[in-house]
Amino acid sequence: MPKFRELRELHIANTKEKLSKLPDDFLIISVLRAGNEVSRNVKTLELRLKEWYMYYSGKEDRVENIAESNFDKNLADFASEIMALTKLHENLDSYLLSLMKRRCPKLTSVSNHVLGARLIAYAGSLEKLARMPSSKIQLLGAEKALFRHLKSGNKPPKYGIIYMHESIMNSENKGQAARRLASKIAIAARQDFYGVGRI
Amino acid sequence: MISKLISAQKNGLKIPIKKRDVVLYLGASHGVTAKVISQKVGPNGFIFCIDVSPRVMMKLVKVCEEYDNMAPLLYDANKPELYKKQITKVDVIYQDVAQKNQVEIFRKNVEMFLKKYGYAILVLKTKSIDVVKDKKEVLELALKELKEFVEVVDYADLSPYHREHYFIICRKE
Repeated sequence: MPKFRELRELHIANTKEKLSKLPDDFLIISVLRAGNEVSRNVKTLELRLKEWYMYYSGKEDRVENIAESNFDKNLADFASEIMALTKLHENLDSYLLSLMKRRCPKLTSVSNHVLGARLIAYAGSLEKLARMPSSKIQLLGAEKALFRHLKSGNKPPKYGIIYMHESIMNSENKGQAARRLASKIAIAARQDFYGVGRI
Repeated sequence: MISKLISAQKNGLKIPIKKRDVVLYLGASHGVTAKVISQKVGPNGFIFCIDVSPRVMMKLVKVCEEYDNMAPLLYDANKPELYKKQITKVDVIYQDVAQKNQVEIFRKNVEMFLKKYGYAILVLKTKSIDVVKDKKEVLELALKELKEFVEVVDYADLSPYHREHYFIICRKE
């Protein structure tokens, strides 16, 4: 079956090429999740470390100081590992920033890069985010509260994960701030995906 | 978790895939079931494996490089006109996609690619069609829809191996 053999070679080559040309969305989501995981683990490990350090010195101290203390070799090693993880988290964060600036510069400047990446992760890809209405972006991550509202008539939620943006956290009228930010994010995502002048 | 094809065999269905068949596999995922079919059709048969997700496609390409009768295609099974020119007519269609419009996707592909009197196999995931309804109700509706364009030969429930799944064998008239 020479025809099929040729066809197979062609399809394998085509698919590989397609896979290599994928947009960075998947990479962004992976880096974001890895960073979140590392930072969450650093926090628990730090708690463990401080608890352990209390046993020797009876007081709390910073991780850097514990790494240089000479109570216990294992304790100092533990502390230096945590410092390495903290450094890793910083590296991942700056990598995410550079990825986001390349893929969606406007979205990154309107929201911050972590929030932008979380929105992309929630939507699935930048394309899906760009096709969302701003009211949906405003409530991404608040689905539970939204459907509770629709079902039983409780108060509707005002914001989802965009709450982590400082403009909402620090504002007096949080609902209004959320609405405003969501509309700006919707515009920015569309400009990034479709190009300026095409919306 | 075992392959749905194997579970159907265990539940007493006879799978109509022969040696030298050309198969179109929609929703090939990591290629576990595709490997089984690859052995069924033998070195003179062929399989077109279609999946839309790039994440599973990375693994599927590796599998296709190992088996010399499988070809990967990164396309959406819902849009057969996009890969119409990439594949040939086939003897068997096997579909396992978890979409709300499973039957509609099935219909499009059967009408476009299946030879006359060729077999078409649909793995019906009832939970994707309707979460609330009972699986039997969903099956009835799907069967009614299927009978408009194919002849339903046999079907079976895949429990206890897979919950809320039906394995339906059809034939194009």
